[in-house]
Amino acid sequence: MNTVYNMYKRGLCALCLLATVGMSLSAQQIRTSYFMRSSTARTTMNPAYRPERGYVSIPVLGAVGASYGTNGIAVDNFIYPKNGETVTFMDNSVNTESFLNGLKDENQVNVDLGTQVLSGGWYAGKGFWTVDVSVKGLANIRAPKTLFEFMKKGNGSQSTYDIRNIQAYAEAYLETGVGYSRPVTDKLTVGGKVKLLWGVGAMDATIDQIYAEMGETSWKVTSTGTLQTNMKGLVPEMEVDEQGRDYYNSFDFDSPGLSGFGLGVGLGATYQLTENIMLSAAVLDLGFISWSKGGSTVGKLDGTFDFDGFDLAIGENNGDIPSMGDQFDAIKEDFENLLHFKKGGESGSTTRLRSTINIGGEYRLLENKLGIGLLSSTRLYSPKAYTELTLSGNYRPVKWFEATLSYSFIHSKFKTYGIALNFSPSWINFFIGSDYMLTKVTPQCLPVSGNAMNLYMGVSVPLKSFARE
Amino acid sequence: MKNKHLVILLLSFCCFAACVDSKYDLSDVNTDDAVMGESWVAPLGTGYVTSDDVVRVEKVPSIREVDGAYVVVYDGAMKIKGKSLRAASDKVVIASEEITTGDIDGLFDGDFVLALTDPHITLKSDVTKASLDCNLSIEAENAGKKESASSDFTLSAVSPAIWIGPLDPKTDAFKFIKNEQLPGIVQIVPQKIRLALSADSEQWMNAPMDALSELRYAVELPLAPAPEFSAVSVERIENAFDEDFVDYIFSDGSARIYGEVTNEMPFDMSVEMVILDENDVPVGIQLPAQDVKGPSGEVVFEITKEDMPKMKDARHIDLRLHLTGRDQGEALKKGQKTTFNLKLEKEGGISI
Repeated sequence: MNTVYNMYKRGLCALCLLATVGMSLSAQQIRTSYFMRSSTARTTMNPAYRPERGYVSIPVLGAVGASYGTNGIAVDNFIYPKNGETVTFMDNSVNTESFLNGLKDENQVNVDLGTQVLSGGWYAGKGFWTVDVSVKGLANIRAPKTLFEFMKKGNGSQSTYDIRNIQAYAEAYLETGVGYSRPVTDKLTVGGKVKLLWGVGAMDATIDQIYAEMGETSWKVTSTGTLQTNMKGLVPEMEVDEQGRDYYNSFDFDSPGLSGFGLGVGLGATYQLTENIMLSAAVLDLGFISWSKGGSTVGKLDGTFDFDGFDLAIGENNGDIPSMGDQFDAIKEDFENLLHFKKGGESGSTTRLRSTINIGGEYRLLENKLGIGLLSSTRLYSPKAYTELTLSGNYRPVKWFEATLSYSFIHSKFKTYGIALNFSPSWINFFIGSDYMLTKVTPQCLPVSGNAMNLYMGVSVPLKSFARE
Repeated sequence: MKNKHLVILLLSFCCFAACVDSKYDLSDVNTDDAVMGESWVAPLGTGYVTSDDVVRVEKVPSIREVDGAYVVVYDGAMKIKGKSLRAASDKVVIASEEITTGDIDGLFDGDFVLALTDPHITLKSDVTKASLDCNLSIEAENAGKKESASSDFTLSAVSPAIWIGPLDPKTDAFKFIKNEQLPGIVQIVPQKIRLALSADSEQWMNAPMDALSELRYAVELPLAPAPEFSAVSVERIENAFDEDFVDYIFSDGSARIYGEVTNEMPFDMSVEMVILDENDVPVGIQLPAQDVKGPSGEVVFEITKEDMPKMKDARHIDLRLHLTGRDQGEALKKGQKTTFNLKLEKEGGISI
């Protein structure tokens, strides 16, 4: 029985860590830098954008980004200080109603991580070329409020729970891309990027439904769900349940390799509406990855748990009734079966990329030293899209330094702001920035009450090639 | 100029400074007091005791099953004495028997009051050629206690079989002689019962030698409790509290064990729950006894937050059934059950 509770304990901690310690973000982009003309980073947010100079990135450090975002939950929704200690929301001192009031009906945490292993960009005639090799990973986890209601309330006040759509998804892939942008007219510049994607691995574990009817006379719980992993070298370890069915107990990792192949494209355009106003739009990461059947693992969840009480061995003539300890152990095993993915088989799959749509408008004044921009960025996570609206003010007092302050209306909630700095003396280009500055963080540098954070930095060596105006 | 650059750099990176709140240190999260759900209700379990658990049938060899009902029966033949030439009085003892009824003491644990509705004695004789006015003297003894009773009747060819007891059996096989003292005799849980049959001296002297050659007796005690009946039956749930079970459920908060008791046995009962440690010593939680009158009733045992720490040693449960009779006085039958359908309500969550 310890197993099941420890499993939940571990799962809970994992959930807390993901939900609070959380990670993730909206694609490898920092919106604050979208309007920074000296930044090489902004080429990733709109293929039509062109930095002032060509560049070659420092290997691995060319563009490193990590982001984490939720749809409203934060560390302090799940972690609480208590008498000098730190406890989780499961601590009996945490008020149930106030905890649940802080949650959404669907709670999702998204994480993106990525780095450019190699990248470079250069001007050739009027065109600007970019090439890059990147490693990208993303993960998201979502859980409905009903799950937390069940965990926090129990069945004393509510005997039926219909918990749907608990999902953990993660994927990682290598990306090789070639981009090109070119002015079409004096006012219009278009750009595009084509990517070849090499899948490293993907995992999708979904519990479609846990339906629990838990009254005082009987408990009946059913679970349904699916598991799909596509990762070469990932070897499942099987166990057999008491009904003789194989289920996945854990995974070993051995001899990694590529498990999928895909394509992606990005398109962008800028339009100089007036001397001071520029409009821009881009669609990023349109594409897919096809994961191969080899190295895949398919599991199915169809657990049932029925309990109508122990057989109480009262008196002396109860030799056939197992001991309470044995009955308790059996019930624990039955309960664990609810979360055992049974062996399915092998199957390939196709996943689409998490696309992003950026639409921006910029107003520049004081001979381009000062700029004000507004960017709408929509990231198409599964199953929902998340939109952020960012207002930024850009200032470039000297040629080698540019700074931008921003505010993101949807996730900042007056608790944080964005900042980006770009240093571009003649010999190096260093960029660092975040859309959600960490005003109050845990010792692990996670925002305590903010529901988004990201950090992006990059180091590159400028080339002598300049844009032809 | 270099200083200006340095100032810009320092000021810029100051923008990235953040306040670290050590109260949210994720590397040192205490989950010791983590609980699942603040309130739970669950079926705890179903169990039953049968009539042959409640009455220690195996300890009382004299118990028989008669038409499905338990009856303690002591039977045999009375020793018939020969005729003497002289009669010392108007009555002469013509037969007697001392019956050892010690096993009846094993019916229940501890002391009990065996108040039964219809204890009776039957006599079956082969009287054919005489008519004898008789008196049966009945003496019961248990340690220092003694009770006695007697009944007068006539043994004859017309009425060779006699039923002595408080209730008319309504059968032609016996002649009923009412005796309302018999239940009082049985009530002391006798170790011995002495029967002495006396007859009119003259009738006995004048009767033929073979007028009475056989006289069989049966002391029959149907286990049909009268209202004064009182006994305690202790039924144990061995290892009711598994160590894991206690850790998860009974480590904090409060708990309420409640449910329905369905009772087919002809007793009313007061159910006392005693929680014991592994050495069979009560852990010290006082749970008021719950009355179950009639065929069913509700019981509630509440373990308060203050008592909950005592549960860490809990292992067994003794259900002490304080049994009393009912006005109806129905017979205890084989296979009758008292069923406990218990539920658990837990406040304060389940420890994980």
